[in-house]
Amino acid sequence: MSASQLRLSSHILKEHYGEIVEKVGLNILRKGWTTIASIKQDTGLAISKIKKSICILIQHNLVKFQKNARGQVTYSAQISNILTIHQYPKLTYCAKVTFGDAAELIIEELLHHGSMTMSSIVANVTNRLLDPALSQSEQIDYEHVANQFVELVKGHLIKRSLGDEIMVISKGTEEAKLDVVRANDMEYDLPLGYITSASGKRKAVSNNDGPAAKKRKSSNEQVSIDFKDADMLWKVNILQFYHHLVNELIENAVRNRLDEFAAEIVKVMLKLTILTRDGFSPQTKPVSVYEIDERLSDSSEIDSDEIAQYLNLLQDDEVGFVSKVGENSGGLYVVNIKKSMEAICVQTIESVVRERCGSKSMRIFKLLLLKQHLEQKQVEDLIMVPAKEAKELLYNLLSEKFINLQEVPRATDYAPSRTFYLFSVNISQVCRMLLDRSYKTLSNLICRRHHETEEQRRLVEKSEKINAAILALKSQGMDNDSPAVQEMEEMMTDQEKQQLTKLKTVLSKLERSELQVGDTVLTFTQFLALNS
Amino acid sequence: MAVADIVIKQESIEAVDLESKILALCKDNGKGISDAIIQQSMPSIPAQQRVMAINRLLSTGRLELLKSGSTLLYRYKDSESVSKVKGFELEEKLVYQIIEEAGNKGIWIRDIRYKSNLQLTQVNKILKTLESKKLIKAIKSVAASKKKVYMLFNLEPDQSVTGGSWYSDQDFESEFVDVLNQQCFKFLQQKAAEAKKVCSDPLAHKNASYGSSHDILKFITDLGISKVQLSIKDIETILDTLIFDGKLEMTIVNDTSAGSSREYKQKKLYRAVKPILSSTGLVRVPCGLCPVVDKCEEGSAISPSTCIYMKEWLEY
Repeated sequence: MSASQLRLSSHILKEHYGEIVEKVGLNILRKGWTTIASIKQDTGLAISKIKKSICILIQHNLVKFQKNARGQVTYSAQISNILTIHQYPKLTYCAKVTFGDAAELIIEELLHHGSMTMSSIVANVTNRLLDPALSQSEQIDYEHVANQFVELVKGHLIKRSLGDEIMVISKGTEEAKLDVVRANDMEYDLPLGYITSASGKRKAVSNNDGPAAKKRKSSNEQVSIDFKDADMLWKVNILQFYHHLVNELIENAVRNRLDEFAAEIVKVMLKLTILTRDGFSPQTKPVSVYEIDERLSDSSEIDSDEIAQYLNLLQDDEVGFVSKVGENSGGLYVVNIKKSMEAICVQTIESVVRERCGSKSMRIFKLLLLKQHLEQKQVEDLIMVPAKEAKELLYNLLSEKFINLQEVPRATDYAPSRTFYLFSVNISQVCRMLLDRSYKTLSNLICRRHHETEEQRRLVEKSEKINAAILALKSQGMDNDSPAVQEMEEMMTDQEKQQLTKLKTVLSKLERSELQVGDTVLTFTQFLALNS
Repeated sequence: MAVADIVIKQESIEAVDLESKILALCKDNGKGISDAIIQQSMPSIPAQQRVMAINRLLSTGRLELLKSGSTLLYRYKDSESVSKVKGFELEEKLVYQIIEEAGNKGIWIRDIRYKSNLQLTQVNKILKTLESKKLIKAIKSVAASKKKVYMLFNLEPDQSVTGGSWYSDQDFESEFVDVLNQQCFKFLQQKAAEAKKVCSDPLAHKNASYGSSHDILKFITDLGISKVQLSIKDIETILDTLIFDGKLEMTIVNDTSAGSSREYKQKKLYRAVKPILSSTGLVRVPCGLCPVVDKCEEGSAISPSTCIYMKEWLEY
């Protein structure tokens, strides 16, 4: 946990849950394990407020608790989960792309509430989809939403919130182990209420052939559903989402390096193996050429010979995206997730080096990466840059902490004339440094966003008031041309309007950049996780 | 090469002798002599060498040119400096020999002093006179810009002294290297693009986009951007820099085309590769490039709310 991580966490907590939760959360983060009494002492907040804050944090899986030896309940914050909040837009987008609009809303709903029952999720999402403000082209009913929910569960993108940690602590060890095993089995079980109701519904629909009438009726009133699952809470399986995001990164890398077909093949391989991927395994399970062919045959005109050729290319590539593990069933291949991520991470670092220090420095960096240990003279000779300039670039890289300097003395006196000075690159070290800088950049961007809104607060409030007034007038039956509406609109001067649009572009630029830096963070964290 | 060296050595020794002979001849005839007389007195010397010797004597100011009627006369020019040189004759020859031994690698002034056991001032003087006689020349070494090395006037300096194709006048020609770097990459890129048009098969496409260092050398030579003749090794160093730039990929294959009876020769093949991602999100915001990012703190002199880089970027 670094200072910049803490700062970012505090920004995130403040933005999403308000100041009080931020104070409590930050205090828990700083303390490691702490009790309510100690939080009260540090923050000076009322016990009730602290309790509520902790409830919120626990609901969102940001804080966990346990009983210590003296019987006190202690709390500890999960910084990785707090930092993940920043990636939430990416998760919802991923769900939208892979499963559709309803899935997007389900994930959004779940992320917003931390954990929920299936009944309430399906009900909420159906209501949101039926919102008259949204013009829907397709017919929506709760069955469709429930189906998407089941799809997400099948894809392991959401899982039951079983609270197994609590069991482990509260019960004896042997018993706890049993519980955990059971918990793993149950993680993706659907509520019984849903299973019976689904089969019942299907029958009902086939018997009475008027589903349209039912749908029309439901659009007028709020849908409420009960699967009798009040004790079954669901939460988003962040890890599985990360698998999806990593897959996307690898697909993009293959697309850039080779072409669309190669990316398509890798996509199929990754998709087929995503459910069996455990934790941070360096490779996927093997996939045969036949399987790939079967999956691809309906979408593109590529034949199995070409698939084999592409797999060969992928294997021979410098990165080594895939490797062959067997000859059976047309050839068995695995995707090298770790190798691919490493290549992506290295390229990310290289792009930072190139932008910060110039392309010649990037050449030095890459040279050191390839040759590992080199002396200054060797570097100067190999990169084909005048010696003086090369020296400058090299030491600039050293001062920016992208490369390391190792002294190898020939004698015990460490005399400079009898010492080798070797330069080298340590990727994971640079990676951690840049990750920290990315966190810092994120908090800077958030900070700047607050600053910009704060400066124009008066203007924003004024425009909001006016807009509300105009809406109110319109609801009274006036249209855009009526004098009252126009008078309200004229209350904003042209200059103010300009300022407002400028503020909007500035904010959207900042937000967009936050997402882009988020991509960098994702690359680095996933690489480090795979490497640990 | 060895034969050529010997010839050169003989020539230069003869040149010194020839000059002294001509000088002696001129001294005998105070009024000056014509070219025909010199030719008569030493018939064995070819005309070209004679002209060279006379030119050198003229340029060093020991002879002067007179015109009488339609013929040109050479007359001995008696000046103080020239007469002084005569006293050094022996040391001069010694230094000359030491420099000659060093060949085209050249020799440093300190080494001349050690070998000849002469005073620094004396060595300096001799070097100066030898230089003014155009018998030796001083070359600045690329290894150390202040270090001068001496070698015979008519020798081409060694690569280690001049730095090879990449140096002109002790300066590294980075522009030349950059142009070559770009051209090599362009060549391979074009090759890859052409291969894509011709081959539908992905494997054939990959194989067709490879170019050997020989092909690239030929392309560069045909372009005519290089004044000097580049070797395969030169081109390979350039291609190496492209690999370090992450733009090329290299494989080594056994070359069977060059004579089947000979042992296999290794051939380096290069191919342009596409980067696997464009610039990352971090460097698209000012903080990724900010030189003072480590000192940036909310509330301090450098802070995100007052950052000028951020302001410029947001207004852009």
